[in-house]
Amino acid sequence: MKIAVCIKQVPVSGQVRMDPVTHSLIRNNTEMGMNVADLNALTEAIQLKKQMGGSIDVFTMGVSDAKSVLYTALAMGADEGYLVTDRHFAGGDSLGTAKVLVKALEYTGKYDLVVCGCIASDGATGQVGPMIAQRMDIASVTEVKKISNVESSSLDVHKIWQGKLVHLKLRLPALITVSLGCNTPILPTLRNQMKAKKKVIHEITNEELQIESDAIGLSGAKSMVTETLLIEKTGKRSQMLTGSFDEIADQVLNLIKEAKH
Amino acid sequence: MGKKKIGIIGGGISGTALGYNLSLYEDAEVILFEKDRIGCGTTAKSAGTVCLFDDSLNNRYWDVRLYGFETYLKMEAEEKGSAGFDQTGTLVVATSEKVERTIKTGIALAKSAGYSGEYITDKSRIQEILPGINTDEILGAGYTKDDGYFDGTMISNTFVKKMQANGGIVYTGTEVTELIKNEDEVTGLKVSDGTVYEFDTVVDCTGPWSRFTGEMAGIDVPIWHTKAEAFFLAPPVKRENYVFPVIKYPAFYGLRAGDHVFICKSHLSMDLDDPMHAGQWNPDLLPQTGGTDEYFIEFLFDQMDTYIPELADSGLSSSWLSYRAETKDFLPIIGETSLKNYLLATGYGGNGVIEAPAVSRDLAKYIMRGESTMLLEEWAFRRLLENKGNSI
Repeated sequence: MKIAVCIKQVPVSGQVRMDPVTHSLIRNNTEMGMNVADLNALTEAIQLKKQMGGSIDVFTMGVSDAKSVLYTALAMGADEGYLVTDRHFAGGDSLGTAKVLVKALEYTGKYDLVVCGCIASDGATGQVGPMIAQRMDIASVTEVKKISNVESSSLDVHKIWQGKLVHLKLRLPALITVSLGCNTPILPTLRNQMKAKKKVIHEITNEELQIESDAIGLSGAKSMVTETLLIEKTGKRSQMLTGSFDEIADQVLNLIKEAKH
Repeated sequence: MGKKKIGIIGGGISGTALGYNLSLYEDAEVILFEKDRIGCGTTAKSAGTVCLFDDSLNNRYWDVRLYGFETYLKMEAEEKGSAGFDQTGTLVVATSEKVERTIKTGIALAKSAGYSGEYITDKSRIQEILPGINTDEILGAGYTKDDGYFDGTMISNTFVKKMQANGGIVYTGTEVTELIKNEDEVTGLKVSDGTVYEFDTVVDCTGPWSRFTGEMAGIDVPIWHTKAEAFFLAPPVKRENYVFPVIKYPAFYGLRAGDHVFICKSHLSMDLDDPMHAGQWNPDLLPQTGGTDEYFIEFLFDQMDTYIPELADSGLSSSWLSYRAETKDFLPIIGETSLKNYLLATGYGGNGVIEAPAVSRDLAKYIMRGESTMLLEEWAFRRLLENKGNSI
């Protein structure tokens, strides 16, 4: 089974600030890493590969620094990493990102299954996956919690729909977005990280994809962020609890009870 | 006679230990200012090891190490958890004859103080203490079951609690923005909300921030930053009822952190002029997590693969970077400066948890009674200026 996984580099600490003018994230001095739902997506893909054989190509769109999440993906068990990067791609919205990723996926070959995380922790639109499927004209299921009955031409996916667990049979090729927290992401070992660093990350630019520049990036964006709101902090209320584990547990219980009243 | 007013800048291990020691004097009126939360800066990123015998602090200063260790044991005995003590024991690995000599001297000192200590050459015994270790490359190891590691943030908060019980005042979320001077003496300070405080003595305990604090005072504090890079590993093997000890190698150290192992490496180079490893940076720009250098991870992997191959197959779950405040001779700067009534207690270089109790005991006495000690004389600012032909 030939699988493609689309991942995104996002800020992973709580230290993120917003630029009040551009409404974009200030990423300086913030730890960056793979979007958590994408870790679930890649883990699901790796389990599929173990079951069915085949290969996993991982794609991310971004600047050169985003290579680090591709190395993480390789250390987790992916086979090839593709950085889709070009100044024409910058400033794009979800649709622009989907257009570029579709071209990149078509450029590298045909895939039986495209796997994405269900939502990015920074932009949180959840749109890119379904947009890719729409533009590739393949079936898609969002927020998949589990995969079963995997065959060469189909697989079953499980998802919550209107409060109920439903099973869907999906004919391949198809795209799924994987639900946040549906599995325990593979933790790459130090040894595998060192091995991954020796691999080559392939770069794909618009020279290869040949997308009209006014259809992508900032100029091609159909949506724009007009306002961002900062949730006011309720103030620092911390206290140091000391004592034995049992004593601390009692104190925590009392604090919870007090907070309820 | 009125009380002596002392202002402390910085609520890490240095400032809180000093605040507590000053609060023991009835004629001291102490106010501590912390711009964020107590023990949340470099102290929070400290491993908190006070090993009875390793090379982090020269055996010449054994009494400093012992005083620190016993201060925290006493704290823990008074209130369990108040020093965050985890008595895991320590294994100090001898990779050369020089290290072996240091360990053996340390063991003799520890035993003379009533603690256990043994130098082990039986490699199977070493493997029992640290399964997965490669004993081919080592001569032996020093081991004690009596020590372990503490929690610097917990200790700082306990010092604050004790200080407040003695009448000391602590302001958190309060940044010192200006030092009030009258010609060549400090008379007070101003904080972020505009309040001005008058003091007889102001002590800078801001560690890696000391250069910036010093700039407010017009003093060039000769502090460099070195990187301490820490990694949390998820080991591949879980052993029932096994206690992972503090481990010390010349190039790295480690300790248990829940089900994980915390590995830290600093001083990849001791050359403070090497811009890759040392510089003068802004600690406020450090990310809370991450920020470690790729070459550090590569270095760490080589070390693990050579000495503890099993750990090289650990998952890397998280990492962080902190800056240590170092002086040219890697000893702290304690006491007077060229500015009257402005003192320093900074530059611990990663040894703050070990050194702060003894230093604070002596510095508090100096501030309140004017009595110096051998330790204060040896770690005085002037030693760093003598070679320049200056004096303070």
